Amino acid sequence: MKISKNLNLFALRMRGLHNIKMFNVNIELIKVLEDLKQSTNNRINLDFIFDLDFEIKTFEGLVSNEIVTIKLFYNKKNRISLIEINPIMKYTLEETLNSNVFIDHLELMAELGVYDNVLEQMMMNQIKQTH
Amino acid sequence: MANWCDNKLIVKSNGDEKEFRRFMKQGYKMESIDGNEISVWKISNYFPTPQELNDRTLRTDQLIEKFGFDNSSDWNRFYWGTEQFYNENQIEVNLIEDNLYELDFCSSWSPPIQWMITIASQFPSLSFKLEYIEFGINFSGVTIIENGIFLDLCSKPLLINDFGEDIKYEFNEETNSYKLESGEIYTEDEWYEFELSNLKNPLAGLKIKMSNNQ
Repeated sequence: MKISKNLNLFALRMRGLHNIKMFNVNIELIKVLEDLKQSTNNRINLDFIFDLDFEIKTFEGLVSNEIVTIKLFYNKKNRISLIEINPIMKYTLEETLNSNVFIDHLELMAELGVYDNVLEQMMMNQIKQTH
Repeated sequence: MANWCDNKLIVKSNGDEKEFRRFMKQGYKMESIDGNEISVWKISNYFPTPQELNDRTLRTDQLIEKFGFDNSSDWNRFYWGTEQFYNENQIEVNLIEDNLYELDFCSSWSPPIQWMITIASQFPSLSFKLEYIEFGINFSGVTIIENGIFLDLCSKPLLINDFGEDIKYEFNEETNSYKLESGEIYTEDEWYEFELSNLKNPLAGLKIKMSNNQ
């Protein structure tokens, strides 16, 4: 399926021309991309992701003791994953890092083979240890 | 010998002056230098390597059980994102504005992103921005932690001038030389030096505005 411009982005991970990781965003995807484009002198244009087909997985997660519905959109070929969380809430960085959403996302990405970054793996292990 | 990654860390207060001061205070620790006890600021003081790993007073299995690692290098890579900081005693901390610190330092192989995540969690009211560039593997990027948002963008360094414009050039295969659009010609050795001084982090100016929209 195609990705919605109005998707409320919680997390974005992408490898390619630019490696991008974002967490805790909770803003419409189109606004995030526009913001990135403007703040980097138009060097980053990610509009092509709206032409890609994404697979989707839905699961429940816990952030700051709140049960939330998580939708994971991913495109393995282009190594892109996006997460939408409902209901939208604002979390502290600590809550995010300690949430099972964050960990589920990373583990699922590893399972799907979407990321292969050693640094990412280290971060995942670190978060697991503090969890 | 390690490739050194150049880092610029910018720490900004968003109004909580007490936390801003606490951030700097936490980096100081008393050290014995030439017989004198001196308060020294270091990046590693915020999240220090466990002493037992440096001293190696415990057995390997005891160290692994207690810390997950039996040596400080692996622990540092895991918890800081880098094995070591270069010449820590001489890192300059500059108060650029009343609410803004700037630190320039080098870390081995990679930027200390894990270190920054841990520290930023301890100072939630402050904004952290890390600009990094490494010329060996050739990568550069920006990590921002602000208002609970974590953003890391990594890209190849670009050959750009001080105005952020691409430097255009042609390579002449017959003479193995490089010619700039402005007419200047460089041999391969000269070009290496030219690249080192002109490859820049294209993401260094990145700011996030998203926090304002929430």
